[in-house]
Amino acid sequence: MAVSKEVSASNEVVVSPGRLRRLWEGLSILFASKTAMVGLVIVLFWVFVAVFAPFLTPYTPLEQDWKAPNHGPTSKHILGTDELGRDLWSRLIYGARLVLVVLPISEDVWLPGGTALWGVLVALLVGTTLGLIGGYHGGWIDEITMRLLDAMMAIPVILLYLLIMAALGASAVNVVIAITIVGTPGIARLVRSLTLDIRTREYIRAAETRGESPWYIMFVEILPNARGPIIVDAMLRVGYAIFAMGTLGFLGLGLPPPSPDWGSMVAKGREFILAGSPWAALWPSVAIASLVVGLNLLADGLREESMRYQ
Amino acid sequence: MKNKEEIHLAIYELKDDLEKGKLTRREFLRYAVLLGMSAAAASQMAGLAFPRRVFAARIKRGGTLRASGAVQKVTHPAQFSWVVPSNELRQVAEYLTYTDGNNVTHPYLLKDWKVSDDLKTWTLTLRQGIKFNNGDEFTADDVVFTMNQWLNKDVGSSLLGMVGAYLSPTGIEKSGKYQVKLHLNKAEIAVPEHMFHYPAMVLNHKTFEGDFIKRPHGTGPYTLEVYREGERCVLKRRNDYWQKADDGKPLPYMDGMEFIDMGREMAPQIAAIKAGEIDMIDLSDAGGTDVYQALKDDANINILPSTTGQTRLLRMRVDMKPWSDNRVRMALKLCQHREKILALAYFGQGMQGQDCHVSPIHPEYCQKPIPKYDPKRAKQLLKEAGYPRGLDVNIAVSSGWTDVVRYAEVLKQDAAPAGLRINIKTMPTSQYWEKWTEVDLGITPWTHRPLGTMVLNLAYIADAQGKPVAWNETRWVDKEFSQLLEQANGTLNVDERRKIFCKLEQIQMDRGSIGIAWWRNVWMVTRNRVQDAEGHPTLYMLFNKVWLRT
Amino acid sequence: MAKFIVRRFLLLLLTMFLVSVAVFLITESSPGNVARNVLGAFVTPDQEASFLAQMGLDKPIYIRYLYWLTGSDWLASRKVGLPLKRITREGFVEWWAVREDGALLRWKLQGEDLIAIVNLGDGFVNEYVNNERWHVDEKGVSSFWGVDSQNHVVKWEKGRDQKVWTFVIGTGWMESSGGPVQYIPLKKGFIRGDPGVSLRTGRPVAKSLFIRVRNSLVLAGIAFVLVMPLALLLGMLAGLKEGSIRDRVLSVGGMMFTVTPEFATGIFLILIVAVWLKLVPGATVFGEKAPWERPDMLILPVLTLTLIELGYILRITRASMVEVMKSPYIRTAFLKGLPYRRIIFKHAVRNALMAPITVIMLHVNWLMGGIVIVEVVFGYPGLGKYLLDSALFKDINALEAGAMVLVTIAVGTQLVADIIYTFLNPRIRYT
Repeated sequence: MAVSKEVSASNEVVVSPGRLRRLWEGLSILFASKTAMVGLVIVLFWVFVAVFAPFLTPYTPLEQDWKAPNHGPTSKHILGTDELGRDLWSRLIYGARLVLVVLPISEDVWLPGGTALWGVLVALLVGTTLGLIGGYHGGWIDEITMRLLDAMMAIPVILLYLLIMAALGASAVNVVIAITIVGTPGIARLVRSLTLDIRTREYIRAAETRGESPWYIMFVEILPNARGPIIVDAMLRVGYAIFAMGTLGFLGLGLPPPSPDWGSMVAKGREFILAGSPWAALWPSVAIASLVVGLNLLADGLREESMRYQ
Repeated sequence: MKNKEEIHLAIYELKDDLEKGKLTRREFLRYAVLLGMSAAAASQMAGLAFPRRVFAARIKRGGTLRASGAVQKVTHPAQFSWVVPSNELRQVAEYLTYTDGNNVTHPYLLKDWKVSDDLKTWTLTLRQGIKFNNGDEFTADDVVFTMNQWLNKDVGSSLLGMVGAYLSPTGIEKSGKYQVKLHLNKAEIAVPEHMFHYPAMVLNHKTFEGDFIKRPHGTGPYTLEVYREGERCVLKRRNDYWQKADDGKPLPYMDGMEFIDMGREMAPQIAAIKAGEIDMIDLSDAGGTDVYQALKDDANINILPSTTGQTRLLRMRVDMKPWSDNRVRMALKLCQHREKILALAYFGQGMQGQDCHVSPIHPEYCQKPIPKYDPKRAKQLLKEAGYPRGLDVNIAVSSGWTDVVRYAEVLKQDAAPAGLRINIKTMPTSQYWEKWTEVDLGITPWTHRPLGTMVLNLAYIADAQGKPVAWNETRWVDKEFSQLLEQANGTLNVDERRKIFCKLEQIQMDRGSIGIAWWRNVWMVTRNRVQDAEGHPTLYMLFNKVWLRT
Repeated sequence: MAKFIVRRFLLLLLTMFLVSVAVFLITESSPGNVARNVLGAFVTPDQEASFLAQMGLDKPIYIRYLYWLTGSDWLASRKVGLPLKRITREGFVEWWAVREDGALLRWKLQGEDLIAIVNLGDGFVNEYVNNERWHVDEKGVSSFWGVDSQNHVVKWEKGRDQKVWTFVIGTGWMESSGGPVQYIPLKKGFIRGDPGVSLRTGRPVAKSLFIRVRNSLVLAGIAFVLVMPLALLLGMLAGLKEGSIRDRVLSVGGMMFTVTPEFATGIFLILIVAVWLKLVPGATVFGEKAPWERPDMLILPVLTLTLIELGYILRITRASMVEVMKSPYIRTAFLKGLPYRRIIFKHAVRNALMAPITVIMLHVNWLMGGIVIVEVVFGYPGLGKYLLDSALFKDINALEAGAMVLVTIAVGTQLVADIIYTFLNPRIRYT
């Protein structure tokens, strides 16, 4: 997954034989936990359908069948159709792509890595840097960044989303920005507390006496040793980000139509629930819930097992 | 000098023909209904018996009607930009005229009006013996005062663009205690309709100081008890209202009305009306398709549909590329699969349109064929215009109007084969209204107006300096079109006017700046205990004679 | 401890300051303008400019922030040269200048005459021509700073070249030279307890905000009271025996509800409970005595909030309980052969409660997001809906006030959490 990739990428400088072993340890933690495995299966299911979406459905997510809007599940459309007669299954799995696989920058340009993943990734980059600097340096830098981040954390999340999206407008990139701004303070705090702990270790003092630069110490010595909790936290955050995308979509601030953004699908399908066609709103709700559950289970399992392991 | 029926000339002339024996009653009915008149009204006019729905004896007095509707910030009625506040306050203050659900305008606070042959001098005679709810008598001073408010630049009423086009403050003459003369700068036939436009409430010249809520003194059947923005508006029956019921006692029948602001979300409102917590949903500023869909099969709910001249206007700015090229505009218009758009965006609840801003229910409407969906020709046109590889365009739509979003989505899909790649830009409704005149391509809701000339004069002409008028959102000005329209404004005879409109409509279809895929139906949605409510194309709540079954 | 509280209080002030600046800046940077929103889409540029001037929105952002924070009456009073007084008449806030003899004054321009209006009390006013207050400058332009009837301090000018038509009530149209050229909308400022007037509703923010906050607190309060004991109980039941069927069912079930978006839960509850089963109303319709007049209308919103929160707190409690059950002293107690009930109730429960209580307090921030959505879904007239509308409308005064309330609640609960934590865990000392 992109998150762990990122952490190991910053690790590249110190290629060591221990790397493979550590990876194996990580995997064995994963396999040891039933909870984590269940979570992994759910997440992998969504990753799979997202990656192979074009091969899993005969329809595109935009194809309109204007003779069959708002139909329930049939053999032709296994999950039914939405208000414009589009196939819900294909919209659902293309929606998963938006979350996990592609970040649409504009109509034709897109980046690999889903919207939710990018949001968390950028938040990780910014938050980790701030947390490391604050925790390692201490002093007034720490004081100022932490007070500012405290203030940011005190702003209710929903207010931040509203303000940001009302100011920036609805697009995938702006959703990433919103997720980043909301996620950064939490990550920074976590990394800072981990750094404060690790800073006192022997090997950090050794590095300092070697005369390594502070950046080297922060990113090469401290960060890799703090990665466990950060990874677990990041998984939970991807869950929050997916949730946030849904909420933004619901409030009309999500990805612009006709993109099969889950939140927007619920928001639009909701109009027809009371008219007797709950399907268009039901499936994306279930999708959001299941993917977030999967990520939560995965994070929980990993945390429990790694605690036991230690 | 002629009398008031001339305003609905077609019907008047038809009636004339009927009386002279040129038309049978059946034919009269047919034509009158074609002109937008309801069968009931037309039968009445033709002297045919038409069963009345309710008999006076059954009417019950009392009770309070609860409706959901936004309670917005309101100060000056002439500044209204939405229908909803007018629906709340029109129960308190009233209008000089009254356009009914069948598009027929009657005198109301006026006893009658007379117009000179050149359509330039209008003599308005007021009904006498009407009192404001603070005891003041309604006189010509109030009318002069109110009209001056419309024309006051500082007030900034939308009536300034409408009435100000032919009337200046110096042209208003008080010719008696109960009579006002209007001297127009140019001929205009729609004056009585304009006086029923929703910001045209008659104000008390003695007490009005710019904020109606502070001194809610009107001639209407209710008084304003509570007006809390974003929350509630409570109205109470007044005992000395000027209109009398059939039994001789004063109207209204109900003890009060209450409007509750439930927000823009329709789901809670649907749930509330289903459960009988509210009696009505005021849809005048909302889309309403979801409400219609959810409630159409509910036996406890009455839905009164009205066909209207309300539409979602696909508008292209002709002073901006690529829409300055008529071939590109035509290409986009050809990409409208109207039957599909109506079916998906509005669930078939309306009439297909023809890219000219004249609705089949306007009296001067001239019938035109519905253009076909033709992506091949659109592609060809784009190629001729210099876009052989197609064209990328952005369309601005508000996410608040779900039918508009669906329209844009269908259009995007159907325009793709022609090489028009449409990128939908959604924004909150408030943001759309901030830039509706500025975007190059967008979809703007336009409300119903009883006459075809009213709309065309608002949005498709230039002012005296040659600058497009304020509401000309597409900046489209066509010399031939403007001349013909000027001619139509001064043409009294509907048949004559229709002949001009045939040309006007053709020009707009051939080289105009707009696409109209469909004309919306609107719905008056009430619980079935609400009796005698009538549908209205602008969803004005004319509730003087509404009563509640217990 | 006192020092700690003072420090936290200072942090609250800092946070409020930062947030208020941020809200101003963000709202400023977003596209669009308020005049179009308020006056409707069809305003002319002239009307727009006049509206912006009257609302004080034509001034640079730092001035507007200053007025919002500290009020504008002190500055305006200096311009007028008389003290200003805010009174409430017939439920409407009015500003008047205080004449040297103590009488309340306002002015209006009639043609070229300056008319003073004296407030005689009980709704009676007296008017007299007050041209001696004109101040003539060297270019021959007369100007005057005074209070108008719309709660502005206005600079009127006459003798300029441009002529304008003004409409005078009772007289008609008059040509005059000059008119209002500058406006300062009067307000007391946020730190003096006046959050100003809502641009959207035109009424004082404080009034509507109070009702909204109360409604939201009722909603959140009921949900909180319901959730807490239930979630703590279920969480502890689940945590007693980690990995048991009961644990799995409870924690996965709780998680399912937590991760289903509020809007989905809410709308499906309306569909099932209100529309299909017709058990309780699916929307909130309140009259005068909101929200108490129809308690049945609170059921579904509360239920939605409860489901979301239940799972979250349940899981935290469970985790805490699991940890406690594994701790050495519990194991020792078992080894000592103490009865099961006694171990659970005397030792485990107390210790297991510590973590959740503080975490729950920190969670209030998140809970507020849920309330916004629930209020939107059920049409509940609370703070969340008010904020959402204000944000979309760019109603800066309402938005600022609402944001300040939210920040106070969020920081306040954190403070409470910290204090509770010190009491529960005396080993922690704040310095």
